[in-house]
Amino acid sequence: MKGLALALAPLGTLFVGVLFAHVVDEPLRRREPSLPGIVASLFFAITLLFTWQLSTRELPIDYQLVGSNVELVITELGIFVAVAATLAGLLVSIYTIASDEHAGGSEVYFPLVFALVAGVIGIGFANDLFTLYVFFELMAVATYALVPFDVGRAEAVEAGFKYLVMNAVGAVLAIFGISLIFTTAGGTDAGATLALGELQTQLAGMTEPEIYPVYAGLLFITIGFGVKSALVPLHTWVPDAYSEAPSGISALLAGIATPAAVIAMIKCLAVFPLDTVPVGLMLMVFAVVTMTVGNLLALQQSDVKRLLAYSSIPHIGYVLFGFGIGFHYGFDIAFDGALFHILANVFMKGGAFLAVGVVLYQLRNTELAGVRDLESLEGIAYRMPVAAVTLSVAVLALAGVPPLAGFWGKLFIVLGAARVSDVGVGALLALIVIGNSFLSLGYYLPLIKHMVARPDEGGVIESVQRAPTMLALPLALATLAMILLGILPALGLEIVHPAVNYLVELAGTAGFLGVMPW
Amino acid sequence: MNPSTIAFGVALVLVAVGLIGAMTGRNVVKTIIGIELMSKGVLLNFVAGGYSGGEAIVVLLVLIDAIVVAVMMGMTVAVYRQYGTLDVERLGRLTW
Amino acid sequence: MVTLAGWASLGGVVIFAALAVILSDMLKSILSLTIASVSLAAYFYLLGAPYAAVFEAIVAAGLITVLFLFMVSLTDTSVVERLESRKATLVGVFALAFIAVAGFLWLSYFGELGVAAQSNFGDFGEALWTGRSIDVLAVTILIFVGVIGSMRLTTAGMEALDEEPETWEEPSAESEAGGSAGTSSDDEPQEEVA
Repeated sequence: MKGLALALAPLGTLFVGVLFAHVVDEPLRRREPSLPGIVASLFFAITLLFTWQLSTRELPIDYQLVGSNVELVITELGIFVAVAATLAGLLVSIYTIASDEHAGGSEVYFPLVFALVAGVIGIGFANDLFTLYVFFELMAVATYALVPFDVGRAEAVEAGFKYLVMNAVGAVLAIFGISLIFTTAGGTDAGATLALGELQTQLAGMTEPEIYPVYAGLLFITIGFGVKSALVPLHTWVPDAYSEAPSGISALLAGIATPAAVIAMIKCLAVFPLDTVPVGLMLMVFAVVTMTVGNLLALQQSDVKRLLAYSSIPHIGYVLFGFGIGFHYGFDIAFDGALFHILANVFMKGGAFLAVGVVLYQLRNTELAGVRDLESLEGIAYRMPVAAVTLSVAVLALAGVPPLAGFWGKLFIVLGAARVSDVGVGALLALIVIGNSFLSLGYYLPLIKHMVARPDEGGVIESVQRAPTMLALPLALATLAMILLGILPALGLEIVHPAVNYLVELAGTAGFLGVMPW
Repeated sequence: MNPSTIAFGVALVLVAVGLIGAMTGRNVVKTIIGIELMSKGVLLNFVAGGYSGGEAIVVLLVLIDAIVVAVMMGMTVAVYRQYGTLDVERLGRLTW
Repeated sequence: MVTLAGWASLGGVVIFAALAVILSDMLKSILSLTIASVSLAAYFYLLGAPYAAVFEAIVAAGLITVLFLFMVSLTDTSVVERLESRKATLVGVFALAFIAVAGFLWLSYFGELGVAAQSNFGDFGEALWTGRSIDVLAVTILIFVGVIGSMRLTTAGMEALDEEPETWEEPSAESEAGGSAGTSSDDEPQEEVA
């Protein structure tokens, strides 16, 4: 189907939201401080509605605003990304109804959050490498001002600065890689194209030595998007940025923005002729390093937000590993695992950071304000049960404990690894994932232990108030989602599996099925 | 020698120089200049490629770049307010 | 076709880019960047991409230079350029690796590229407004986002230009308190409790 206006609706709603939220924020805030958050949640709900409507139409839908070049194509993968991103945005918006992290700047906070989610959705729907980059930059620029949102705090500003520099360099490297592809494979003299489908045809027909700049482009794109995806060793901005950003923003970053960079990378990589270029192998190698280093680094943390931040890195590793296996061996169950894990992450990581946010919010007027040390927060479970339960469920889900959301993603990835025809290799790959999951328990379990430990007599923790209901709501929703996705993975697979089919078709890996020569 | 090939070489040099500048600059402003130079290399690559779609891409990229620089400027002002200096070595509050 | 002016402008870009990185005086560095931008704009024009040239000239050589100078005037920039030996090694390795890759790429690329087509308004207009319409929309939103983001980053204590003053009362009080607490203790480097 072409030119269906509904195709622009999800993005359009959020674009309108960016402008609307900026303009009406102040009058709304004066009437009632929680109104901006409620309006934001409404916008996300509407976007979700449009996305659901789109998913019921016949896909793929080509969409162009004006004219002939097709830049947005509504595909199943795009629907998946849009759903995940909108859910993340909705969760955080509900959180902001009662939280005050946006105080003093909510006319900037909400537009930026809308822009962030819009950028992610655009990445999902983009059919053209440059459009992909433009939406990626939209998301990135939104985060540049969101991470150091607490401009009065030196640590936040420093974290924001390091984040900004690394990601800006990464973005330029990514567009440089795209430019290399443009100049060599972009097409004939009649007019170059960066559209995914045509690019794939071009690339398949190229031989050496013309293909070298394309390989170089591949490398630059991987490194460029890899910075934002927290690929080791480009991950150094993660602990600072995730922990110094306001908790709702950390939830968005960990839940959807960082995985979106992975999706952007995957879409770019999928156009390469996968039977000659070892894209999958490269991804697997990076993934293993990322997983292992991330887990090892997290073991040494005692600051709860930094611990969660470091623990996000291995999850990107698992997702990349899934994609790598899918690209390399053609087992699409690994793709199922990777995408399902991305969806689960929205709730696991989102729920975890929001729970920490609620705890910090309740402590903000006490002498423990701003303290994130695990030992100081001992015993919080007795006073704030909802937050503690959410955090515990999230952490167990992240570790891959069944029957919670994180289990299925890892299971499918492991199954994909196990199907490799060479049993030794397959077993090794599966063990890497399983081993890392067990390793992560090493820092997740102490977190729970600290929460249920006996608090100091007469200390601050004993007198902490229970969180207000509105704050507990997003936590309860996240916990519910984690449990539901765990017990009924079919709920998630409903949007994951069509996306996987599209991805397999795009990448052309259907014929591989474990018969790679290496 | 094909002139476009030279342009391509220059683009690579610009990216290299910019990257080195961004990584070694001791002052925050130097880092931003480095990032700007890298972007110029990318622009050159798009134009020197010679295809008609390139110009529109370049125009949009120039705009995106300007915004990123503006945000980096804002960041620099914020850093200066908090630390009183633009010396990159002095930004050391966040340790391991 | 590229004339002598074309070679000159291309050379200018490289030379002034190198200068911008090497020079230690901030002002000279920024001006070198400006001249490099102008040279690049000239090259774009000579290659038959006048719209790219105009945008590059106005935005990079104009707007960005103004932003740089404005910011330099707001802050102290008398930093001595010294490179620590450990960092220099790391950078040297990266630089060599990059140059090696670049050199290989360049050599393998010899003579394969086409030359820029002459563009007229019809072509460019069509390419931009019809071919890249979604991108134009997205970039517009991006510009808005960047502007409000920068406003947020520079908000503490700064008078808002066209918004009602009372919007900024709260943040000034909070951020000033937070800001002064931040700067007063930055003489002794503190270690974050890890």
